[in-house]
Amino acid sequence: MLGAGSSPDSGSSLDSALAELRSDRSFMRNVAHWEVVPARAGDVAPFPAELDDGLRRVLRARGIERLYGHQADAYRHVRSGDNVVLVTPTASGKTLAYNLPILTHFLRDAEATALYLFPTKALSQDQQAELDGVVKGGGLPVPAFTYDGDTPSSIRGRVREQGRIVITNPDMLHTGVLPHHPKWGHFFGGLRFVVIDELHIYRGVFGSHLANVIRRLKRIAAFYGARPRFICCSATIGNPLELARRIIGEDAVLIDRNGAPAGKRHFLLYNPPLLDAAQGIRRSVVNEAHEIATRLLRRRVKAIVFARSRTRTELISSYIRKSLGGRDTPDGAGAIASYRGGYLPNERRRIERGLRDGSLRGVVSTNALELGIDIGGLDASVMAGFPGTIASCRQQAGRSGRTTDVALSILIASPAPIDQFVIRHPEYLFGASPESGHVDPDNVHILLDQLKCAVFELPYRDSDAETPHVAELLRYLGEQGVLHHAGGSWYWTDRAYPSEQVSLRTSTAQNVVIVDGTRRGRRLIGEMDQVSAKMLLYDGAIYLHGGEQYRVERLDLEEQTCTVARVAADYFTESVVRTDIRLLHRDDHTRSAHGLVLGDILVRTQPTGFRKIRYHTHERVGRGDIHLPADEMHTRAVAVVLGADTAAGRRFASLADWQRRTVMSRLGHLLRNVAPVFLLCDVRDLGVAERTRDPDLGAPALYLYDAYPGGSGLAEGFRDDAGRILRGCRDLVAGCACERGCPSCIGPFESRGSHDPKELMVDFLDAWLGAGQADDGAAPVPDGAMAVPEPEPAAIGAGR
Amino acid sequence: MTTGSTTGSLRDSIRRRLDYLRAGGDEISPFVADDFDDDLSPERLGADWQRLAPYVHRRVAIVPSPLTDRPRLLPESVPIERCAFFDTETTGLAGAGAVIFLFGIATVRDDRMVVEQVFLEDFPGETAFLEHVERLLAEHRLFVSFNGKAFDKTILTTRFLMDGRSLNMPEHLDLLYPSRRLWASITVDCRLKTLEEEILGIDRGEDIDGFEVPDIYFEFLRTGELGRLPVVFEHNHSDVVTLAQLLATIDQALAGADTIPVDPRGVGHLLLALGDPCGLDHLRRGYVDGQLPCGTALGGELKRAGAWTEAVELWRDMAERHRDREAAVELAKFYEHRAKDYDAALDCVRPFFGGVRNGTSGLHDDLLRRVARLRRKRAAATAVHVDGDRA
Repeated sequence: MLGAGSSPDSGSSLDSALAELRSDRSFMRNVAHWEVVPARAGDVAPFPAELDDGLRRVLRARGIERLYGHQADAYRHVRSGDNVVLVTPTASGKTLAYNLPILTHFLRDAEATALYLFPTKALSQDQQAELDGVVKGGGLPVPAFTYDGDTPSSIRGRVREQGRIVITNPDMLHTGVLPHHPKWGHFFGGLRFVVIDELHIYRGVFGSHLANVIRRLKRIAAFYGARPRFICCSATIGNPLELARRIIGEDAVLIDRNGAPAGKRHFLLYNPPLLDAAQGIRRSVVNEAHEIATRLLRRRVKAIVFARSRTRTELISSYIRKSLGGRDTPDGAGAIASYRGGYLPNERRRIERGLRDGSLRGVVSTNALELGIDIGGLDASVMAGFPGTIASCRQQAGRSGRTTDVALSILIASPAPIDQFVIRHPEYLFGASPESGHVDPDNVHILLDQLKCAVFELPYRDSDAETPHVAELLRYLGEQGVLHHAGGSWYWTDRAYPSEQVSLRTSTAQNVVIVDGTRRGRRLIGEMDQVSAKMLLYDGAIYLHGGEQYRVERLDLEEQTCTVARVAADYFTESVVRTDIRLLHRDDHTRSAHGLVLGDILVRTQPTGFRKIRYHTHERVGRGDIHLPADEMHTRAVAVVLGADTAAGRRFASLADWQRRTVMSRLGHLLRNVAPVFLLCDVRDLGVAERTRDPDLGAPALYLYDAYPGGSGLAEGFRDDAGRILRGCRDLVAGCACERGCPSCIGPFESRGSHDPKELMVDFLDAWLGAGQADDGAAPVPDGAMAVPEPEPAAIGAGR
Repeated sequence: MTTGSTTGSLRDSIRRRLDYLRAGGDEISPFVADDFDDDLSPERLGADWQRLAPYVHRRVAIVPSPLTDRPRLLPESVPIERCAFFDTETTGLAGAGAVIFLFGIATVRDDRMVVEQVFLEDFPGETAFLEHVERLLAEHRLFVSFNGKAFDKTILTTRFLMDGRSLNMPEHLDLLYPSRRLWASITVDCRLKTLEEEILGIDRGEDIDGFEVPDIYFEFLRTGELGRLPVVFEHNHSDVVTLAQLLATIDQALAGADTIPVDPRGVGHLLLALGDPCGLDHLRRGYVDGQLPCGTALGGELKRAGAWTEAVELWRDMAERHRDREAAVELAKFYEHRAKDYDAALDCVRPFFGGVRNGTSGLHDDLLRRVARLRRKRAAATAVHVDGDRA
């Protein structure tokens, strides 16, 4: 937003801090690359002539006299009834871009309503506060409410009957709103706008589910005579328009020309010094992040540090706090907070507010602050490790910087191969297009579940079934006795409430509450999902929370409570987690053309023990056992079996030992990156497990499994499309511009080996595919059911 | 999560179907014909049923009325002919996918009851079904149900809305609430079936549990065979008749009939709600018979009425004889806020202060805060007194 919260001295503090860094030779020795992104002038437009006086007043009160170009474009398109996809960086005023045209419409149409979808409750609350400001400030008669699991039942009726804008999340829409649509008749009857913010989150299985929830929403709206328009907002991704079209099932206008001005940005790639060159051991990311952030904060540079785990978040913040002497220092430099999942909502709100009003000078966060939560303008962002994807990296870097002042982003590389690759190839980070998001709304398993929910909500007329595919699935459900066909429609005939049995996301485990039992009156200090609790809150663990140290007295999973006590320890703890898989059942005993076996597997994740690690030096000072039940997920998998009866297996057997190890691990990386393009899922939806000798299958095998409990059809999709996926792998590696491997193809090349893994992989895949074609004639390439479109070459070549 | 073999076979079967579809090209094969296109003939459904519209049937039965006098729970403004007892049988518990397939309604005509039932044979008949139900409702003003506020009425509202109508039920008496007051502490639960057996002494003979109902209807839809559907019809019929009987029994209980076991606190409460001061006597008698909750309720009523003398006496008795902490706190409140006698107030709660040192209950914390406040107040009062002396 124009002129939002920039303090007069921030630019100059950062300038002087930058000058100091530049003249520090020991610092500069570790800077692998210093990129200067020039300032960009903004592009503004006057307020639309029709804009209401109240809204003008609100904008002026915030120092806004004109709109950015993208806001004006969005306004125009929304007002003329287009679906819009808005892709601009954080803090470019996206919220205003949709709120203005929607509120303008509301002032002319007293019956109109709008639904705002956010992926998390925290973002919903943020939006609620923002809307309240605009609505109350402008004296507008537009009640806006949040409706989610936290909404007290006493006010739910009022939300349903009076809400003009209802803010919720996809899960609540799916289980709590759509199945009860008659209670929302008034709201759906007026539905004109649906806002889907953070669109890039809806990739893979989650996105495929959302696309179907949107289909259901449109069907219900049509029942009440409404046809809403969609406004989607996304962070930078490779294919925003395509993703939006698949999720809303309609065409849309893409607005991606950012009209907000941006100050000059310095982007540093920093590689911590080698401590042991022979073993490639470098100074730890935690210590480097602590030192760099401390330096910046001392210079009055407001900074955010992104850490890759909750423990690291707490460690870095406590180190910084200690160095700066806490918030009581005269200059307030030590007023910093840590922020992550597991904090109570109130605590989070307090931190966000502190960052906005300047009472906090800095924050250390997990990727929880990567999304669009409003934390005001910061001068510098420090990434303690590469966040895994180009999209995330850009999003985190973009958390610093205001519209006109100079900004700083520093990426501190960890010793991980991908970090080291990025450090050596800055062009990969600055040049490559970010990752694409894929969804497959017609995935049979997802569609089957979603059809049940749809029929429950409204009988499904034969003529509603747009594809033979849907008609067939309805008939299948009819045979299963779940649906009944009469008078040309399908009706729900099962006692179950279907949406409760269909989860949109992989993990919906219950939360464990964390209770401080040190003082009388047991104080609730935080909460954590059960899976994370097993990794972080085992008996004896040191739990760090907002600068305090606690020791876990007892984790009671049945009661879902964890009792902790305040301690002063000189170490923290880190759990050791083992994941293994077991083949439970194979579908049949023949292998398909490419040596693939389908079956059910059990994925067991078990924390086995923990290490005690001394602060600062990070040396291990002890260990302990963890006695907790394993997490088990029963899912579907496809095993690539490299047995002697296939060409690939024979080729594999002929390789040297190191080559076999390389092929196995590189193949896993490759398949995990390439398969999502064909299966229209996300990298997170797939798991990989390699076994050099599989006891169940009697040969080396690589398992690719569905990360969704029970499976969502990805393993089957892989089997059906294996020929094209393998060819896609081969073309990607052979065509990749890198020399000896990069994160976009077979994974980064590690300097220590002396062999060329890239050539080896191309060779191996050629042998496999050549033989495959000779053996089978045509590989089974189905169409119809999985409806996989021809992949776009650009999508496969992501990274070039 | 499902077991390996079922997961596999389910998936395989879907896959085979889709493979088949693919092999046959994109042509949509014709849908399965509706299971039965014709309405059920009266011979199959039973001679007492009459066809109203396609897929909609009704039957009317006349039985003796269990109501002898006008029940006190019915508001006097509504003539008895305009009261209706109703009950629904549905395919589910909540949400847009739960459909009403059987609606039973009974009205009193002198010493007889007219019971009408409407049956939805298949979903396409729902509009005609609801139209008839709407006509039946329009004749009445007050609707009597059991758990109808939370369930039957909600689901009727939903069905009406989805069919483009709005439900009109001016007044509603849900017998679940008075039944709970009277019998929740006596019977194992407060389901209608339990009350019939334990309080009304009715044995239905062949009957079904409510949770079986949807499956019986689904089975009928699948096969076209009546199966156990006639038992559902009887079940629904009995339910509406029982409602009248239950209302009569509640009335007798309120009149003090000693043949009916009741919770005196419930009787007291219901009578007081009807504006009958006899309710206090029931509470007094209950307390004297050793029922502490009656004492608590009585104390609350006396406090509301400002009958402090009796209230203080009662609370003191409860605190001393039953060591009832709640009564002691009430007593302390009286001395603190009304009598302003902080020493007396402290004396009231002191006996409860020692024994529960390790307790973490909110009540104990509350007690601690109260004592601290009383001490402060007493100290302040004393200080003023001392100052006054000096002056």
